[in-house]
Amino acid sequence: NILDLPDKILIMIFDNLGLQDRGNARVCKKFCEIEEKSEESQSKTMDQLVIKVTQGLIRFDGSNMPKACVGEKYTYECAILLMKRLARIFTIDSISFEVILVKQFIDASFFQHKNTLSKNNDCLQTCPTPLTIINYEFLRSILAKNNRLSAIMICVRMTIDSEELKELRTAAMNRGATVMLEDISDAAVKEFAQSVMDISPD
Amino acid sequence: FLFPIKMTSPRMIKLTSNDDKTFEVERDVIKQSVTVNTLITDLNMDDEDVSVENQMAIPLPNVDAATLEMVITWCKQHREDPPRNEEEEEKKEKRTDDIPEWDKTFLDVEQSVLFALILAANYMDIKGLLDNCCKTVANMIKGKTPDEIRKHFNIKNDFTPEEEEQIRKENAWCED
Repeated sequence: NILDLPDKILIMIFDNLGLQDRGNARVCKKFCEIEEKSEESQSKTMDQLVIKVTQGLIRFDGSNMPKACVGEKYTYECAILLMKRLARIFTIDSISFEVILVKQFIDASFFQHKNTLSKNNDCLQTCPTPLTIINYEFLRSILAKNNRLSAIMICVRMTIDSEELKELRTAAMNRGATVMLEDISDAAVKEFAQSVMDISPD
Repeated sequence: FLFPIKMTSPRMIKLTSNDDKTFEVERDVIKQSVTVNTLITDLNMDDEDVSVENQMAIPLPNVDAATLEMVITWCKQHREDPPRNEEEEEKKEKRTDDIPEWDKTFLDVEQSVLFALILAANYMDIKGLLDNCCKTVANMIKGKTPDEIRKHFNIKNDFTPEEEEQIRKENAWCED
């Protein structure tokens, strides 16, 4: 029986699963434990990501993906894993907040979707854009705990022009988010990183 | 001058399964097992003066004959594989669609056989085989609902209704 395999092996099997399959594989108490251990085994990478978050920079360009999250939906999965990790660190109920996320960042498809995005802000969740917005409300609430930040966000270096960026920002703000979507130039990264550098869970 | 060409036959190693069946396998083939390789080195079994007849068989108390035979077949198939760089392997993106075709067919066996192979690969420390076995099991899980997974692996649902509801909520959280 699969349950008789050693934990180490089961963890290796879970390491090969994407987020949704990992969730579905929590079919018994043993597999729930394994899923958690498997996630912890990614913790080194996740810690690096968290550090990047606290420094204001998350680059979802594949270069710092946790290895278990790489795949078609890696950006989305990575963001959610990151959220879960943050939730644990900050001891927040990991399911009590909403993930708001633009899953894809494909320049070409942004333009064909932007109208939908403007008309219906709910489409933020599925609209392919060159941006990846990760759960900005949640991040903001965490990082603003010590009142050091009033806004949080941003992930990838963007190639869209500033008009398009403004439009997307407006759409995001219309959705009720106190969020800024900015192109991350090196200077902006530095400035942003500096502003959140010493934020800690305490 | 004509020098006689020394025809050297490949060095053979004897392995004994837990049901007392002994296999002779080429040294070059079984080097993929870190466990066996270490034993060979530690026990000075690479000494060319010792003939295979006089050689001690390496006991593998955790592996039965049928499984050991499969392990040896796999090692033979992969004897030319470049040595694995574990550091690089760690960095590589995890995917399960890169199992070689030969391995896919080879590992298309009953679950009990596959699990025995996993345990043997783990015990004998054959990372390539272990990886591909784990990926094969992961592929059995992928795309299935919890109920389908339970059915496929004959796993009993040991959650209370409340726990199950909690799990369902958490899973919904990471769905599209």
